[in-house]
Amino acid sequence: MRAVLAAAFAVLITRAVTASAEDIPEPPAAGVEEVAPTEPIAPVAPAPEELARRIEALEERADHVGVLERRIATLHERVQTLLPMRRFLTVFVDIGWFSVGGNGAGVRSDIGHRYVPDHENVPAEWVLLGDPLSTTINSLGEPADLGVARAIEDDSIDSGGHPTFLVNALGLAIGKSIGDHVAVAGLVELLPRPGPDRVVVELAHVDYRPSQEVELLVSAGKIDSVLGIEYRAQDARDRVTVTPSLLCRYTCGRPYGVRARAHRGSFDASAALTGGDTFEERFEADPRIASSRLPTLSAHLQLMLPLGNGLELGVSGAIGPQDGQSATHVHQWHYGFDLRLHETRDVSLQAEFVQGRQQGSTSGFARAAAEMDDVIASRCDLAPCLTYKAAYALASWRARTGMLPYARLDWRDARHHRGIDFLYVSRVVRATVGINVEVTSRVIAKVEYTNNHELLGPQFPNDVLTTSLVVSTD
Amino acid sequence: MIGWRRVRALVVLSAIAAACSGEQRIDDLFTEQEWAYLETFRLDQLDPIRCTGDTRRCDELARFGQRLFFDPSYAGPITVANDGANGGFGAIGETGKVSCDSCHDPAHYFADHRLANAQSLGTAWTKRNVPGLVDLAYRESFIWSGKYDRLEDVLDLALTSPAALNSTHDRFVDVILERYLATYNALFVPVSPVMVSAEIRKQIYLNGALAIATYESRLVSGPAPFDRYLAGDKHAIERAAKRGAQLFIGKALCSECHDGPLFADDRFHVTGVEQRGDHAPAIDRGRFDVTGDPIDEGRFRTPTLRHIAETAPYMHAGQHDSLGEVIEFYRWGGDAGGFTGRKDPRIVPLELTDDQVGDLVAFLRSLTGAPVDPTWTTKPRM
Repeated sequence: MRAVLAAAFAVLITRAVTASAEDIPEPPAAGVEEVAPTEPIAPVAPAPEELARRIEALEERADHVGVLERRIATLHERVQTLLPMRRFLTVFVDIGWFSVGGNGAGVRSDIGHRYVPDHENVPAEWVLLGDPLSTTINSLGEPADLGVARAIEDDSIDSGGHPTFLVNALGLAIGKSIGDHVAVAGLVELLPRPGPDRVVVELAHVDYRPSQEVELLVSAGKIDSVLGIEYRAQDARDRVTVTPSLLCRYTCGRPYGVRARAHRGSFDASAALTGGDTFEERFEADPRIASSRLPTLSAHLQLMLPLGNGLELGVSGAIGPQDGQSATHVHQWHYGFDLRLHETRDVSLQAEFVQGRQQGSTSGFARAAAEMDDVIASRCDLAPCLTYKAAYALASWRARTGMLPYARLDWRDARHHRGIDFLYVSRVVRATVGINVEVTSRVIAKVEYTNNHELLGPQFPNDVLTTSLVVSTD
Repeated sequence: MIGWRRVRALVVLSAIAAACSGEQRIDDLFTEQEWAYLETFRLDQLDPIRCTGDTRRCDELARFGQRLFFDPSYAGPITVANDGANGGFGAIGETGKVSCDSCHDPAHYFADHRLANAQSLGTAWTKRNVPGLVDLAYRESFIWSGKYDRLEDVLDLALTSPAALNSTHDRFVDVILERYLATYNALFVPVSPVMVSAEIRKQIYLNGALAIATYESRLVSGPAPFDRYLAGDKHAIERAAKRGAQLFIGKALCSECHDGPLFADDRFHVTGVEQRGDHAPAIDRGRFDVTGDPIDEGRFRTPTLRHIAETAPYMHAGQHDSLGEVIEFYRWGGDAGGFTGRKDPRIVPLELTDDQVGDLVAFLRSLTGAPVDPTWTTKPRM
């Protein structure tokens, strides 16, 4: 079966190369055509002009070969996404070392209510400035330390600001086709942590492809998000960077549900019906099972423009009941725009903007207390209120074979509030530079430095230096 | 010329240094924000209530008030006798035995700590713990329910309460007329003891109350060790107290209510302390008795923490007799029941360690200011 899939993949690639080769302009009339000699001809030294033309022609061909290689890579990626009808079993390990300034946390309390006067009776200790996920140190988005962020109970690394080595994940990716139209796939990760070790089932889905002629794939189970583009390469093996962007928390989650993805011409459309949102950042226990009767609907539409090796422009949105509460009328929405320029002249670009809101819910008692300016309660006590805007731009440059320096700029503006329990007011920007080195096809090393800058509140040391070495069997 | 490799090495080293850097700390402990907040607790930012008018007259008025404060002669009959252990002031029915200083002990920052875990005993048992009077001049409302917003109005409660002085306005006025007429006439519009109308008697009462309030406003202390620490004396308090200060404004959430130079927000809260004590009523509605607003059910005014180490027992009914007990109370989120009203949602278990409890106690001990000028704490000759 593996051979059959390899053959099918080869045919696809060959078609792509052939189609692309038709676009190659004819070489110059003189000097470069290859004529098979019938008998030995004494070599004649070409004239300098002739030599220059030959070199020029060769360079043109080399450029085209480069273009074709990149198109093949793009096609390969699409094949990987749309045609997971193959069997694979990959084991990988992601190990890293990191150091984070200060106590390793990305937030500080607004001591004395100095920066957030409208704290809505939340104790100063629980009014948090900065971003709890600004000090993430691996592809899973785990912060080095949560500090005083008491509302997030899962301080999985809890480094206390000490530099340390960490096995980020020991992973097993599996997949197998069942007949011509169905396949199953999964991704399981073991996370050795200072507390109890964890086993996380990141993905577990069944894929159905109704026809070989139509590029339509329907998946059901624990599936990837359809929002934005960062989710497509979020695991350590695929991610260019070590850490996710600040907005990945809203788009990279993997909910339970059904997803369909179709491709036709320049358009690519995805839609999903899921039992919850695609958030990964949790300020409360992640409700794996939907807490509301209604599902969340999300969709993404993408247009590929013929710029460079392809410019993808996308728009996505989601709407559904707010996670973690049962009322169907308490809703949340999200929309975003994304852009991706496939590697052109050795440069790749990727950018996203998202905005969203969780409506939240307030009890009658808290509402009355708020009207009386009384300290005994605070809004959003039944379900947290959240508003957010975030964006990032990521550029990478293929400096030489296997060397990929990159730079990313992040921004996030969010307010998250739950009764008296917590109020996060995040206004941060951060700049990340790093290098991704593909030592071999199975070994990837990454080093990354992030400078965090708080737009509201005190500046405090929370820059991140982190590394990742990913070794996989396939 | 610096080579490219050196530049790269420099950049890498800078990144490592930035990612490994610690936080700048004041006195190796406080962040700049913490320190800025602590400075808002400095007492020298406040002006005490001042007697308006001529300074000499104000002094005379305060001295007159001092005499009235220490004078038991206008107290009514005792209804709870001294049993030899309760710190009582006489036998049942005896009058003129109780004065303000009977409960507001000048030797202990004018608080009453005769008995642990108990209310106060004047002519009878009060239902609440008598608070200290030092630095009262800075406050905006008075007594546990905040019923009064002028110091001179508090006399009405002390005078007429069956458990405090068990007296009357008339008796108070009579004592002024009988014993302090000359002093009174020197300070106020002179009156004749022979022809005193009801209106004049009312004015005499008000003037007497003003004199006592003026005296009480002189009961201000000097800077506490913590104030000296904030002013720059890094050795004024011990290290544990500094750590306690950090907890106080942070993890322990104390400053949510104990805020500002007086360590009190002048607001009302249900801290969830159980009504207990032999003489405490089963239900004490606190602020509700003043406003009638259901939201004020069981609320009490935030007491100052200045001199707190000297003013045991603590809480509105004297439920705790040591600072350690109080911190333990808050450490575990208050009592589970037995109180009136809805507990403030910020009273939650604090996850404090034993050491941190000790640090908080050390900090609270650093809030005891220099004693009040002895001129004002000494019982005057009557």
